[in-house]
Amino acid sequence: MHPIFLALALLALFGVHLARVPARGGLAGVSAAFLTGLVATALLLRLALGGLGVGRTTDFDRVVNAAVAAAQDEDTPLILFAGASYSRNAIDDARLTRQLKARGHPHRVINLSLEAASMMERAAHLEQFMDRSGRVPDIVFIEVARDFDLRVAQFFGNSKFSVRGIEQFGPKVSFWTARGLLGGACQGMTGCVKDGAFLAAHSGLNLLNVGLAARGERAEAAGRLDGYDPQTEPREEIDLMDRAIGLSARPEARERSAPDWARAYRLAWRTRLEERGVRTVGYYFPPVIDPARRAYVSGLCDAELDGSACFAPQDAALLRALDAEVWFDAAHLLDPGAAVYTSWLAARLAESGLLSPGPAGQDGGTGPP
Amino acid sequence: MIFTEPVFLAFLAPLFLTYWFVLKGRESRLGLLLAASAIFYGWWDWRFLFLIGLVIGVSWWVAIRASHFPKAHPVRRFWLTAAIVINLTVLAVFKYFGFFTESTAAALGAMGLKASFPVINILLPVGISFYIFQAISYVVDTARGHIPAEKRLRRVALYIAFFPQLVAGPIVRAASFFPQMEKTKRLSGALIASGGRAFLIGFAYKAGIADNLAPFVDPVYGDALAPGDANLEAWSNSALIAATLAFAGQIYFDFAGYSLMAIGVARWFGYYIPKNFDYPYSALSVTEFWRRWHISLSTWLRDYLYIPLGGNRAGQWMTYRNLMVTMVLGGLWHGAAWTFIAWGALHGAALAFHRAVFIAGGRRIGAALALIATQCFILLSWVPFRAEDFGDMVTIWAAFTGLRVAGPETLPWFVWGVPLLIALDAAMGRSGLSRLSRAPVLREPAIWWAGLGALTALLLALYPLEAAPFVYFRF
Repeated sequence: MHPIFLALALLALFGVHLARVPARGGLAGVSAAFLTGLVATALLLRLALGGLGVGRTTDFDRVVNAAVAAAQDEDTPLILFAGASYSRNAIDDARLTRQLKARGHPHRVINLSLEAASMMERAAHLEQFMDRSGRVPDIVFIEVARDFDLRVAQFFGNSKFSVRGIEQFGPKVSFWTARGLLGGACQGMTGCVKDGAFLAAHSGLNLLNVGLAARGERAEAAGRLDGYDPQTEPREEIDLMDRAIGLSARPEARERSAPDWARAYRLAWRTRLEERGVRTVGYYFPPVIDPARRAYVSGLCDAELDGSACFAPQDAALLRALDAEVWFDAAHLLDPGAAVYTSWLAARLAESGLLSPGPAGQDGGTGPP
Repeated sequence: MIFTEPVFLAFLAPLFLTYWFVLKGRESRLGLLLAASAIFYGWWDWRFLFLIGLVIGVSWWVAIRASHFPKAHPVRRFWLTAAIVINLTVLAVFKYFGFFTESTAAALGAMGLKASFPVINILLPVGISFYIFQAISYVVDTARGHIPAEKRLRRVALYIAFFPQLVAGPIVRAASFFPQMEKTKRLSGALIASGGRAFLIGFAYKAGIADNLAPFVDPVYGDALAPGDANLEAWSNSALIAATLAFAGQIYFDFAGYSLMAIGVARWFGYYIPKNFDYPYSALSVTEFWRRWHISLSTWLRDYLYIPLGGNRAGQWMTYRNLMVTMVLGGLWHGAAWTFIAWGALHGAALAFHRAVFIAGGRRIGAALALIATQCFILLSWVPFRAEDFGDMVTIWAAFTGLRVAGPETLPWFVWGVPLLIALDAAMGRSGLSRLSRAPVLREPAIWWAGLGALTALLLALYPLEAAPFVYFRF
């Protein structure tokens, strides 16, 4: 916790003791005065706390801290995977680094994933990573998941009014979420109204700085959390027949393109990353048992994301290898499953040509494929 | 549901509007408050409602039965005793069963005897110590003839279960509460403002300060709700002292904050609950401390335990004994653990010492020295109150002497600033600084309301998103 807490607590204590009998005035006048005081102080606090680097710290800050530490260990080119829980349980970055090294590629892989992380939240923390580490990844892989594309406020399905929830719904994330909701990226009328209400509440709490100074902690001091979270015990029983049928099915992709908001956001994110010097932006989705979810990514890889590196988990050999006791649940892998997928990824990366050496002077020392 | 959670606002707002703008009759308003109290209490666990219902029913029925007989009649005494025994039995079973059986087994084990008692995992109903004490005070006051026995169950129920003070006090006396139920109530700006002021200060205490001090206390002392996880070896001596200072601040701002919010909420419904704290860390003696700390409990213990034991009427040594018994039982009231008994015994001994040397003995010391000595004692006495066991208590006390082999972990330097918070609070409440609030500039509506807006922004920024329950809930 930062010493600013003590100063603010003293100020609050002084203030509440001063606030005795309210001065009488017209409703409009006192409302305007109240709002002016509220907004001006909220702005001042945001500036002051932002200047000190103090804020609400979340698990994502801890993931970034671990990534920054890993990136500073060595001066090799970086490959970052930015995903949600699918990637967090599926991409063993240390293993992937070793396997790439064994194939002659010096890259350091970092898994920058966290449960329920929307694209906007991932993008914000990727920026944080680049700012803090002073390094620009050579390649960034962005997880593409149907549920996050079709429900822009997917986070509310997992967690509401949490520190992370309030922290992430700043102006940018709120704008994109609102855009997604207006475009229908929500589940039915009731779902849309609920997500809209939650968005309004979270944005309001963020705007009013709720909890911003409570921990009084700097992100750098929040500790470390690895992006890869190996699971060893299944959390749900999966029917063997369902698993075999799900993994062997190859339905045609119904969607060739993501909803407008997701397409626009991915494009904006990609542009932003390229402006910052990222050489290659690629896309991927870890394996899940549900064939429709795999087909969605496959469809996007063939159409919307055609021309980009895009790894959909539709390889029959991969899916056959995963038809075993390697599932944490129907959408997440256990550690042995992650080992299978990571090896598959290493092979795809090596054969893709993305890792071939580039011209001197580029960060990481690798060039375009 | 706790006062600082948004869900409480969602509970309070419609209740307030219905109470003042929909219902007009006294009985309907009492009924609404009773229903709201049941929802508030059942929010923790609906099964608790049966228990509090039993306590209410027994107290109501026994008071009526006893009132049929003259004051000193043996039957009246019988009913009084029966009601106290039933209420204390409820408390003993739900709060102390495990403690008594474990302690008895340990004592027998120490004597070489092996005893086995049934293990019953009983959920401690929140606030049980508070409402049992209120129920006892009602029965005793009616038996003593201080107040008439109330025939209408709804009133007794509301007195015992009134939601603002139900789970952590203040312990309200029937003689002060019952007449308020009969008064015609009118909503006024003054009522909202006085309730708002108490609530605002309480909110700042609890959400702005106490909850934000908890992260300096829990890692050192261990999680109070998960005993056995303290690892004192890892911490330096200065960290143990700083954590104790932080706890002194946390428990004061937490409990005084809760009490003030309870007072504020009750006031919004037209009820006046007396203050529970009066800047206790400015006390110049332990005796004065107990006149300022948890006032409703200390006066309860005085009226229903210390005085019936004989108080100070039976000579010096009996007075000391009575003080000791009262404070040891007061310590046990706080929690089913030997550390709480030790805390009570320490305070009992200090009260007896103060009485012997400074009240009966007539000695005087300077105010500054008295303040330092008293507050050092209070600080050291928080160690057994918060420590998980006697071993931890001794380790932490040893840290104060510097005689302990210390670990490497430290707390941030500014935790030593906690006394500043306490001092500012007392200065604003007790000294001439309080006159600042009447400064002409603050009478300007624009400035006053802009200041309130600024204060709101500040408190929102300090609001802990992972709210901690009130420390006193577990008592």
